[in-house]
Amino acid sequence: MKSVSQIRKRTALIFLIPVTIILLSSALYPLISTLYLSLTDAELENFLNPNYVGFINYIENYEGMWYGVLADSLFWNSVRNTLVFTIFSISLEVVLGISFALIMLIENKLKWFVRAAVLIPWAIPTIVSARMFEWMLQDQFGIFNYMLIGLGILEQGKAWTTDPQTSMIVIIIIDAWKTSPFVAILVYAGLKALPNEVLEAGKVDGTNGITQFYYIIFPLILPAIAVAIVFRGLDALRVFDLIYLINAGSKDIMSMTVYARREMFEYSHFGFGAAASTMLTLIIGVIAVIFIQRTRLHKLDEME
Amino acid sequence: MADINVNTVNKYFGDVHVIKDISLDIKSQSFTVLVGPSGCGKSTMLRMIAGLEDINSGTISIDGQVVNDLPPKQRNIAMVFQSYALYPHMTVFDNMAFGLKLEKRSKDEINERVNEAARILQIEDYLLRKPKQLSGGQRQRVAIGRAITRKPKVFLFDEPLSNLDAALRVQMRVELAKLHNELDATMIYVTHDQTEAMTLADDIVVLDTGIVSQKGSPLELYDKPNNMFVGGFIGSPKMNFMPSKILSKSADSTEVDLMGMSKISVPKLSASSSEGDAVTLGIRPEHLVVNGDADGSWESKVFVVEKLGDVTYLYLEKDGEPLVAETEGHSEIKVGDSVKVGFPAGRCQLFDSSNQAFK
Repeated sequence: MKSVSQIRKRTALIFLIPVTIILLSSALYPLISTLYLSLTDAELENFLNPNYVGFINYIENYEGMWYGVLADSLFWNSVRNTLVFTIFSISLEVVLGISFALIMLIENKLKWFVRAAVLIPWAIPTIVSARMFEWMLQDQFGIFNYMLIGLGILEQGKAWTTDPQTSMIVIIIIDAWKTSPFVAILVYAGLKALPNEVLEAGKVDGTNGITQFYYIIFPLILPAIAVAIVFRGLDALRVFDLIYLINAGSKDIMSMTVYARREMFEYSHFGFGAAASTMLTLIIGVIAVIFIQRTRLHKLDEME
Repeated sequence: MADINVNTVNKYFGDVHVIKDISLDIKSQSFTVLVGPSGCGKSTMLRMIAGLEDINSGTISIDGQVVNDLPPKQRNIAMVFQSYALYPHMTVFDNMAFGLKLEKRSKDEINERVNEAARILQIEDYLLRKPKQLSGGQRQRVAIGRAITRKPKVFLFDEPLSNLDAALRVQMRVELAKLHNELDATMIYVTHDQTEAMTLADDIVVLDTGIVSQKGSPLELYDKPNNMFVGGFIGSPKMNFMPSKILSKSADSTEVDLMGMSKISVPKLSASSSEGDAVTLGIRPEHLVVNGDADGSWESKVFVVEKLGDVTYLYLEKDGEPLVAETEGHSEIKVGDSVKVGFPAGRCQLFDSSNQAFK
């Protein structure tokens, strides 16, 4: 006779097998092979039989000069771009997301319209929204420049997406437009779960709209906001499609992923590109661990 | 200090008319209990006084001032909620200090008032804990403490004890009564528990489907219910009701039939009734006389015996009409025994066909 807990453990194991196999083959295998590739001199010609070269793709001193990913200023530039993009886009998305969520809470006849309007940008594929903004911001025929010229703010059209001063700002705004709805949904769920009596107790205690939000609502939806930041943060650190679509070649907005892709598939430096990818994974991992530790998100169950 | 006047107030939720022309005068410093079954409108009434619910028509005034359009914070009230509604992210101290903080009181005053309330409620040791680290009874004290610190004119309680276990409920009930004596504030208390109503109230307001069924002191309601609803609602176990018929009327009493087994002259009158009318006779279990002499009586078999130690309840049945009778704790009566049940005429109530009591 097996005890109930033994049977339960065995059942759990059986259910875990499929997902374990899928994870091993789809995540662990590529991770390890990338790691291996980054330690080789793999290029297009010798891709199947690369030579082990140690860490020279990461860093190497050759006749007094430093080489490798870690010595490439363009790589660090892409790291900086990625961090700037992540910090500013998420800040904007959290502010907009909370605002949208609060607007979605308003009960009136237009609420279905408001909810749809908030969610539509999230449903549009990135390629469509990127092209849409590109056209609107186009220097000669774009409606944005047309309006600014009409208002007398600009003399002539500005190439917002390629201008080094504005391209990062444009990308952050497009991303915020596109993904604020995601933050809004998470925050909205958090707001819906707020205990009504607690808000009423606040009213009796004398809160107005602002103090109610500041002292009661915001602290209580912080866990939901933290979850949104983790999801959005991991997405933003891996940002590729939007930047690639708007301007793949510009070093002003090049992200880590765009850098790694360029090394691998444009220059065929597979080993070097793999090293860049490995660095990317490491950097994201470290940031994620620090953030989760700091917000104590892994202890969310113990919070209330 | 803070009389509360409710004047022909109506409240609709959509098409549902939940409060129907209710008028109430609540005296300053009194302890008034709104009681009634679920859906009678008692919580809605309280929430309208609190300012958490709009009023469709009529006026509510506190201390002579109409407060219909004032937000809760300007009504000088404090409220204790059924779910305690503590701020989960704040310590006990901060929970109790929150209202004062919003009023921009000085740090010293906040400290003093919170510590004073904590002392009264004996929660000084938990001031730095979060609500989730407290038991239900402790949370309830904090909720009451939060109300006390603000020194309001009116305390509103919305079923504050219904989430507590039975023993704690009795204890908190006593403490609430004590608190009322100490604070001299007007208290309005909503409950569906008639025991809480009887034990705490100066005045009980019985609500039934949005109207005031009766208002009066606990014993007035117990002794002279206006109608069958109040008669049945106040008292535990419930008042017994049995169908009867008027046999004759005299100047000071009405003679009714007791299930064909005897007659009884109840010293109650109703001008609108006449001989032969069907009436309902009501009598409380504790007023029935088991195997003794009384003005009227009948006999029946016992089918359930409940021994509570101090008293014994006998569940009887006669021609499909159930009857509960109370007798002494160490009664020898067993299931299946036949007992004689006596009806003292002075303890009987009569209700006419529209459920109104004879006076």
